[in-house]
Amino acid sequence: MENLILELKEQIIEVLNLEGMTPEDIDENAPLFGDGLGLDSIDALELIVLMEKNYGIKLDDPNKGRAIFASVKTMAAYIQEHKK
Amino acid sequence: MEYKVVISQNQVFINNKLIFETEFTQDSVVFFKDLFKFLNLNYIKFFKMDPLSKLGFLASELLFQQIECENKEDFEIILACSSSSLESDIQFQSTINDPNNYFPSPSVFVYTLPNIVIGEIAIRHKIMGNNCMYIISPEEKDLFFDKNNAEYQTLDQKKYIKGYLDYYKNKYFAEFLLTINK
Repeated sequence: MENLILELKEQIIEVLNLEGMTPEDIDENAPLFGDGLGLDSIDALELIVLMEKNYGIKLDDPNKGRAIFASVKTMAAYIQEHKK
Repeated sequence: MEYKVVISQNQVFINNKLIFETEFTQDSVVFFKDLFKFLNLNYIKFFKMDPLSKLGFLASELLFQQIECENKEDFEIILACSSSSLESDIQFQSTINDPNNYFPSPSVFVYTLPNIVIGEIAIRHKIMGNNCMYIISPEEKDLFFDKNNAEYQTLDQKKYIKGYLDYYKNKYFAEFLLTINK
């Protein structure tokens, strides 16, 4: 799980162009949206693409997005459970 | 009152005076980042922009740093470009070319219109005035800036940014004018 969290942080930094950030700067328990990393709706779509492209996970129910993308940790847990 | 900014070939001029220069690099994004740091800006969204928007954003920042104006709401923004959003169009196309690797990128897609650069500037400075983006040939640039030409004029002629910018395959050029008429 720790490795997946680190991998996910690196991918998020690259895909979302979080300039100057390192994995250590991202708290895996902090909210991804709002106060945490301050991501926006386009970033949310990019995270959905990331999950499908890198882990083969298609998010069929958009209503689940809020819980899955609550933090890096919740995202990693979902990926670990559903990875193909 | 009028200020002019020109960004070209790793150099920046304000009213024809060289104010920033770096060693020539083929990677324009590196130059844009250096200029961003030189301007001491704190705006994380800059790094998510496409090169055309970065270029227009930097040109407008350079201009607005020349004036003391808290409320920019009434500014008009009239821009023109030649290559449109071709750079982002091609990048987006590359994400959907292969049916077996079909992952359209939302963050690239949002920049597949040239007038998005106006939106980036307007959001940054809370500008709500009229705006327009023309796509012209490079030869029409002088005509675009010609004050006697009625075709490309702003509506109220009071406070406006008028600029030509272009970006394609690492080649870039921007010439922006900020005008305030009393």
